[in-house]
Amino acid sequence: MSRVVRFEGLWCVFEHRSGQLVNALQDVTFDVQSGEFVCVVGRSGHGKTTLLRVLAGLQPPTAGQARLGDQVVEGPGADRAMVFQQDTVFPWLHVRENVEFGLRAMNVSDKEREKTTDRWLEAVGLTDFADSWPRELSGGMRKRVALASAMAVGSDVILMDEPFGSLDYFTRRNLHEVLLDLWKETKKTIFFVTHDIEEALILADRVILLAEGRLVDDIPVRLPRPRDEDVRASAPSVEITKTILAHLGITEEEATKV
Amino acid sequence: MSSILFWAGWLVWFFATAYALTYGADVFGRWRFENGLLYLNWSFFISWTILFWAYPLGLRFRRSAARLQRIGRGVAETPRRLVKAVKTNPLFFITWIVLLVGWQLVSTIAPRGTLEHPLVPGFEYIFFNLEGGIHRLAGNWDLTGGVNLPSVLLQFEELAAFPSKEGGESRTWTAVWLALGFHSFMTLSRLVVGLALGLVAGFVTGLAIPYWSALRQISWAPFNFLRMIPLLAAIPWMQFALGADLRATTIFIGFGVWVMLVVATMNAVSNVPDRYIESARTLGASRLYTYLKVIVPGAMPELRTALLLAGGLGWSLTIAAEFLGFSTGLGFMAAAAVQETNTARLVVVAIVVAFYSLLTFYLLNKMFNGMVSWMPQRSTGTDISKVAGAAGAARGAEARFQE
Repeated sequence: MSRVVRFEGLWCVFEHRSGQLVNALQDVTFDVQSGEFVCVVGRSGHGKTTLLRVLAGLQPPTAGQARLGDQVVEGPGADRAMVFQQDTVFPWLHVRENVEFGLRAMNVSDKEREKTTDRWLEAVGLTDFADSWPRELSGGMRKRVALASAMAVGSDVILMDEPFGSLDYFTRRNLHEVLLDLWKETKKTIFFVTHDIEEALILADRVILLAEGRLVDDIPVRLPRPRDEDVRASAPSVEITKTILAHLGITEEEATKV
Repeated sequence: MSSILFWAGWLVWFFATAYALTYGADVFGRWRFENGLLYLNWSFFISWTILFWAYPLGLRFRRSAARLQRIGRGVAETPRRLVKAVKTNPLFFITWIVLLVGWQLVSTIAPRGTLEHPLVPGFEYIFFNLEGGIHRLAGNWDLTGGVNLPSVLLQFEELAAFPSKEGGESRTWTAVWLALGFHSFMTLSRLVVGLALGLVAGFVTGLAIPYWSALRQISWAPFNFLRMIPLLAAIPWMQFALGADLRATTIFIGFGVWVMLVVATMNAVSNVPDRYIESARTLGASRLYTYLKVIVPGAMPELRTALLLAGGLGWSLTIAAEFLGFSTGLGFMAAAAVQETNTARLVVVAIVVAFYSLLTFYLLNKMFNGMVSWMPQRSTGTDISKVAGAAGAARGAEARFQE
């Protein structure tokens, strides 16, 4: 395994309208290995999304740097396709055109573009909806389109910012399976932001914990896959959950009270 | 590709047939070009029109026939649709009936006033009074006296010889229709050319400026300032500076529409959700590609209002310009009526203009819907019954609360 992503002494400071300075990220340093499934977990407003946006090149850091391979990240690019929390499927393009958006932008030849698009449409189970308008799809299906669009550009690293946050429980579980299948098949590095500990335990090889913009723990998740209910109810899994809750300043009693 | 060939071919055909007709027998028509005016006679116009439509019928017979059939079916269905419309939306029709009947009632009650014609002319006065109403419009059909019409590009020779009066005094219906047709043509040609120019220029400029942030910052203030200038007050200045011909009005209308659309389009562009732009960028799209493929289509939905407002602005500018300084067009007809304090004629012109504006709105809206077929389709009207229902429920709840 080789290192694909490195954060080095990353600081991100925002100025509030009141003039108050907010440290969204404070001296964050860690590496991500090739093919890893990393979940960044933390409370909302504690820097998870900022970290992801710095790596995506959508947010310049105040100090420090994010590196992709040997390259310092300086702007967005197709080598780190991203799936957003909000609905980003372009409503003016058909499903197929959405999936091939990145390929068209990069001037991929017609033949290859068609082949790649077909492959990813099939992978997310939307072959039959290739010629539909996004407005004709459900929220879960639109997320599949976004996933296929990100996968189709062929980057080794996929960034995901609470992508399934707005979906119902069943759709979310279903998409977890789709995502894990794709991950197993492609060996891509996935960098996944979530506030949902259960989701992190289902998906991740490794959990990065952020609190108030600081990296407070880096927990390897060595649980057997598939992470069904039994696995997640096992002692090691519960131990990880407890560790995470403790780090986030929530004891078990508190968590159940809230 | 074949479609481009088809349309280009039609354009070539349009001029080629005109050329061929001039060398054909006189039966098919004559034309000549003198002092910047194109003189056509009726047979030329008719032969040309037939040849013009023969092109699509010949090359795309099946499609043209299907379209004709669709139009025919639409016409045949009109009565049934009308009945259905009356049933589903009776208030719409009742409003119209009340307005029309009300006008007629007011015309009998209202004092006649000190003008030559009644202040509120009734419909019998407008349509059947030979001295007062619509028949006086025949006076606007006066091309026989060799009127100097520098803005008329096209004249129908045989028509020009048509008398506006018969037997000295009475006004003919034919001349009324010719007058309406001719002046409508003049107004519409000014409007269409000016509007098309303004729309294209406005969209292009409004979409181009925000691409360069420096340009956006520089142009924001001047454009908002320009927008505040009362264009109607600038009409006399426009006529001093540009003259009073087709070119001048086109520039004037185009300018007004352009300024309004640039501001509206820039607004629409800045309202495209960031998430679409960021998503495109992380999928590897360059800045230019993102602009063309994401920001431009993303700005479209907001341009509907701008487009409809531009149509309205185009109309008011055209009519006002004609009212103040032209000897042709519907605005001129209105001005002529005002000069004679002929209220009945004014009413007729107002109805005609209202009809054309509605048609413009309809066409612009239809064109726009074609452009944004991807948008969630809304039903045409706000469903007022839902709102009323909600309000009723709220009132009910309030009443219960007070009990």
